[in-house]
Amino acid sequence: MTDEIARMSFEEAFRALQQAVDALESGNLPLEQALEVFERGMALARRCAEHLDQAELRVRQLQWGAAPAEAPPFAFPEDQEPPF
Amino acid sequence: MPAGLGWRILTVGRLTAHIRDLLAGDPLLADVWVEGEISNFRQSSAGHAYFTLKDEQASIPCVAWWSDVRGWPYRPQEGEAVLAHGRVAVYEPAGRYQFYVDWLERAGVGALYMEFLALKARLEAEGLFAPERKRPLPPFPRVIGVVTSPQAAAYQDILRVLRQRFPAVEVLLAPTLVQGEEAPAQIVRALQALNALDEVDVILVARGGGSLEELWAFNDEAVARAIAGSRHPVVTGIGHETDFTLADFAADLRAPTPSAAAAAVVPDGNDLRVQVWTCARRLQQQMEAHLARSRGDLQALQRTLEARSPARLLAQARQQVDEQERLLRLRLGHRLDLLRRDLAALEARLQSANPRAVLARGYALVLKAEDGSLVRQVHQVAPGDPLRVQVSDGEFGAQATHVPQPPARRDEKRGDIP
Repeated sequence: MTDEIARMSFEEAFRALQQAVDALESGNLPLEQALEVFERGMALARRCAEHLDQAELRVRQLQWGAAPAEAPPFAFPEDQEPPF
Repeated sequence: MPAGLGWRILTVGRLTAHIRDLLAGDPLLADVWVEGEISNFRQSSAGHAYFTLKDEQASIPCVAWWSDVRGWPYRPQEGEAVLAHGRVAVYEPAGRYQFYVDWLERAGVGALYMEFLALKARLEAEGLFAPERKRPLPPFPRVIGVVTSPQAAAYQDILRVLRQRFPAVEVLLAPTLVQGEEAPAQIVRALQALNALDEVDVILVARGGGSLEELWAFNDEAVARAIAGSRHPVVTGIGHETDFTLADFAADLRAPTPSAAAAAVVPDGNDLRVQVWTCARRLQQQMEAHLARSRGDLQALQRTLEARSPARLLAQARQQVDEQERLLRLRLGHRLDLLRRDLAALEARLQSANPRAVLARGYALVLKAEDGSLVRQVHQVAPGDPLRVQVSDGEFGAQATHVPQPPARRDEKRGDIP
């Protein structure tokens, strides 16, 4: 599976998969290109299945009230002049 | 009183229609609030409600259509005091008047309801609830904002449904109180916080079932406005199936419960699994068909190619060469014959011009022996000169014996052959 496909969300992979099916079913691809589309389509189908079988629902919670942590003051090391 | 001339006789239908028109013409009866106690409540299979409203003095039969009943914030209970709104009209087949109820609520919370209705009417007039404002939900959300209380069972219901249906999402919980005075402001803050985040695809606003008062935060104007103004689509799942709040009206989609709301925002994973599997199968079938087609094409090409293969061409060429060679030989042979014939003719002519042919007739050639020159005239020889005489079948030696005297200047002209 290419990195591109591995990075795809379910939706992207699913749409790309449907496009691959359409492209192949149009029936006018030269063989070499058809093989490429086929292999990409199968990789996309695997990627979709991975998404669906992903066991864990990710949950985050927004935090209220806590003021954003103040950034530490910026300083150059003492033995070093600023470069400007 | 006997019927006779001067008396107008009506049919039952005409009389009933007359009463119907009388009642229909009365503005009070067309739009009236009535307080009373519910009795004999029953509901048809289609959901229409039939009951009686009564007090100490009187009772009135009531009908409510499902299209109205489903929107009521309240399930009618036997014996409860209620406030009903509707119109009075005649039910002609039974010959009785009925109260057609389009709104029913518990008595006592009436003031709250009036307020609710007024607010609802105002927001409705503003277009806040207009159907054309409703946006479609994203088919495959990645981040789902959830506005609810983390302690609520509703939140656990949502997580459970998401895990079951489509776990490839991220839940972003904006925790909030869902009842009490603080609740509306917190709900608005939660909606604003989620609206500030680009990655949120859809927002769930949820609360489990509760009393009308417990759900009241979701009838708050600010909450309704925050939902209507959300840039991400909002799905509500508040209370039970029968509870309708202003938040529900303002949402892009109202689900009857928190679980149903969760189910509404994500696709069904099993369904998708089948679709993905189907896609993969179609890919394989297409590829196999493509390969079969290509194999067929290849065979056809092979046959064509064999028909035009160099070996075959070579054989053809060879045959042509043979043929050409044969023709060439034929023509060349002919030409050679002609040449041969020409040659023979030339030979014959040459032969006839050959001086030796003359020798055969008895002539002889005389050559000087010393230089082989031909003797044509007498003065070329002197007495005693050796000569060679050629005849038809050879030559022999001879010697000049007698030479007549040459004329004058013979010496100067010697060797000068005319």
